Amino acid sequence: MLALFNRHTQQMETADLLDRIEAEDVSSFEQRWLPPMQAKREELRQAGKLTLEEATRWNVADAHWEWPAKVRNRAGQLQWASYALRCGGDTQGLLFLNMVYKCRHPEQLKKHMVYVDLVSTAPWNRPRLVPNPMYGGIGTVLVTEAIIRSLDEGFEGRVGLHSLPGAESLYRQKFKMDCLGPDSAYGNLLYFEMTPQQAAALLSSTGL
Amino acid sequence: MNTAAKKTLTLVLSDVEMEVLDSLSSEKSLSKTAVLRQALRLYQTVDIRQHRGEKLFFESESKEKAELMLL
Repeated sequence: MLALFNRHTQQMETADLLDRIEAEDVSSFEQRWLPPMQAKREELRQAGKLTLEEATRWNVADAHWEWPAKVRNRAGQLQWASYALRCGGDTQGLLFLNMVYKCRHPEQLKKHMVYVDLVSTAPWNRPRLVPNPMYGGIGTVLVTEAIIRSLDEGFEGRVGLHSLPGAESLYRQKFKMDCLGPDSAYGNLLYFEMTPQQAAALLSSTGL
Repeated sequence: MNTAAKKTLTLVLSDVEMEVLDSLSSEKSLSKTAVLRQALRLYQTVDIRQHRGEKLFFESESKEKAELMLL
């Protein structure tokens, strides 16, 4: 059973991970996620501070991701897999995976992997954007699901992703992924990969 | 997690087709089912992009490009 820690109540709450983003998740994004993120970006824009550094500082570097359009355009395409994490009656996290990418890691070169294309948490869970974030660990749950999906697909836990600057420490320290450096074809974001050995160690340490 | 239902398909392959599937399965360290699932994903991905009017090219080491009329 999946559970998230509610920092407000200091209690664990049962969560539900759906293996498809549904209409109600898109609706949650449009009606409840976007307004506070757009407001912060507009505030930064008006102050002449809408840079990646400032957006990262306020935890809204992903606020321009068009989840509704991507959900619509990618529906029925087998290369994409989407997930929605719900808890407390609302969507707390969203995830898009790609299933046809291959590894760049020298030890895993051209082997199949799961690529984490987009992963986001609801704005009310974001440190810095809000003074008292509600649920913790959304990104960890979703990226761990990517590793589990990789195992289910026979890809032995191999996962790759480009990290926004604010999430780099999560992938380095929590997931212990290998950083293969900045990718000039992807806005110079750092590219990370997880090997089967790292995946096994991580899942073993979390009791999965 | 809420997981989508899966369905079973019985597949009839020739000896050569089965040899190719065995070989790919072994080379890629994937089950035969995983190879076929991956093949279906790629087939659909290419098909969608060709329907949009995009072209698929292979580039040789000498940088010569050849359009692949895959589907």
